[in-house]
Amino acid sequence: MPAHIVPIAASLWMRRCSLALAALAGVSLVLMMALVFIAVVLRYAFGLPLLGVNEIVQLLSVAVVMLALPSCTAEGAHVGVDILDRRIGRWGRYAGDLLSRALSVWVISVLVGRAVLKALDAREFGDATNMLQLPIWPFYAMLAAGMALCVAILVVQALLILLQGPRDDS
Amino acid sequence: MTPELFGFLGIVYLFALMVLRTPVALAMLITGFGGMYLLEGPRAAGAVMLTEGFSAVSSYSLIVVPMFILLGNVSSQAGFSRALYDAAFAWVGRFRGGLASASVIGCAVFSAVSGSSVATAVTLGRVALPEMRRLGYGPALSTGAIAAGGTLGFLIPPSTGFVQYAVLTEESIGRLFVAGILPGLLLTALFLVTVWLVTLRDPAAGPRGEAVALAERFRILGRAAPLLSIIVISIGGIYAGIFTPVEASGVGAGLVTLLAFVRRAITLEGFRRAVLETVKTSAMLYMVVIGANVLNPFLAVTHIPATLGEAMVGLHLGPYGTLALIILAYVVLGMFLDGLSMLVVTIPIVFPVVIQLGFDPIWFGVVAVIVIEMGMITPPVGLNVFVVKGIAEGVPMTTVFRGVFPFLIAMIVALVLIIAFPAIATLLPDTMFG
Repeated sequence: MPAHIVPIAASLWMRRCSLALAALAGVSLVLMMALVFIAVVLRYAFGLPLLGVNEIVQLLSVAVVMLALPSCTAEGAHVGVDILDRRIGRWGRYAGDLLSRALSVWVISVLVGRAVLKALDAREFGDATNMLQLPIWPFYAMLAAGMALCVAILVVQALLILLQGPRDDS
Repeated sequence: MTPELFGFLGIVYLFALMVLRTPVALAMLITGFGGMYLLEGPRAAGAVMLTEGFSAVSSYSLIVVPMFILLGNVSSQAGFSRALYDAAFAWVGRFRGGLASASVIGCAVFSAVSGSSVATAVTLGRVALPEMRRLGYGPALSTGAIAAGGTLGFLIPPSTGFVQYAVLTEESIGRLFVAGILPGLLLTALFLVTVWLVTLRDPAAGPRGEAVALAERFRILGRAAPLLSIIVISIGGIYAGIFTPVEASGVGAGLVTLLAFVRRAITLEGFRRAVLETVKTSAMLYMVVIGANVLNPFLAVTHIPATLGEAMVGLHLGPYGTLALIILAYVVLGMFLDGLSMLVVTIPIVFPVVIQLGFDPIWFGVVAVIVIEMGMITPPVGLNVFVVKGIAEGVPMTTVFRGVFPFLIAMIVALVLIIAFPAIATLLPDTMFG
């Protein structure tokens, strides 16, 4: 079995996972839009303010970003500067791609670790939002999960780059 | 090693990472975290990263980003941009260069539902470029008008540029949105004058289109009326003080979605695509904010902004001389960095200097956004030029850059006017917010 079959299979599996999470992010976005819209209509048309809607919307925005981030990472959709791509040559691009992923994996892993600890703390101490008393820990957990999947995606990307070796196309 | 030298090395490291193809958001995150790790220890670095990361993704004011992107994407999927373009063409198409003028107007109006210059250029470019080619427009004028017109998306509210600036400087998003209205209209007018001057010099570049009867013009305008009404409600609502920017974005996105479904202008599949596109773009933008939020404490700890400010003041160039130096630096950086990256990397350093010089932060936001817009159409890295080149098959890149050149001059004129008459940017927010 060729060595790169495993990372390719892992990459395809992660892509499916990230797409499923992106779909959940989409649902959160539509919910967020509907909530803001309904809250405005109720307040202005019927004089019925929806209390605490800000808190729900803020937490939904955590879901939108963190559930969509793995898909963004898998598709390489992060904005970058590619002006010197040709100048640094194939070995420069190869080294840069590996270094970039290695450093990103290190830093994001630290963030995942901190987020897990924070989620556990928030759960233990019952941290909640001010008005609706919504528990905050699931949203730290979501941050940890989204970032953790990004780490996994970056590791698989690094493996694929390593196995493919330096390439002429940028 | 002094903190200042450490900070300077951090900036060099940040640029080195970007050259080595690290995405801007991750380059900032790595530099910010790494710098804090070395200066303050792993515990503080981790705490800063988690706190800043969570506060960015749960920020209430940043919710305008996904909402307004959704508004633009649904409008685009539902084909409402076509109605805008048709309406603009019906009214100005019979003039020389009318199609190019219609494209600029279409871009300006679409900018009021889209916060992105690329989205504006792509959406209007797909509609307008084939029409201009059909009528025998010069490729330089047609592509130049779309590439330059698209940059209005970054200035006319809702603008992602203003949202990012507001987050980085803790200024009011509503004030910045309102401040962008008059400069946006001024720039649109200057772009129209540019089209007129180009076609005056070379009438073959923009032949006249067929005249449309007055009754027909109103009928076509009527087709664009629902989207125009949504723009008036959401942006006008902010100006009138009825909505906060977040409410305006939710109302705008909600209304456009309802409109698209009621008119059967969008399918469920089209809506799904618009939503998925929105969440991915939003995640990318939020990641940039997270990166900037982690980088900023590192820069603050190393006193880089303060040191740079003192150095600039030490040059004794006076406020406007220093401002000219900053703008020049932006123009040069704009040739190599995309707008968003430039904004998040430079504002934390430049903003304290600008405030120290006594300039209005809202006014500077408008100036910075216009200079960044210029970077979107200047070689070698002109993002909008690349985008338009991708749509305009067979048109060489040099032709597109030649086409945007007159519009670049219009932008410089707009910039000079806004610097000479700051009220162009500050009048509306001062009138509205006091």
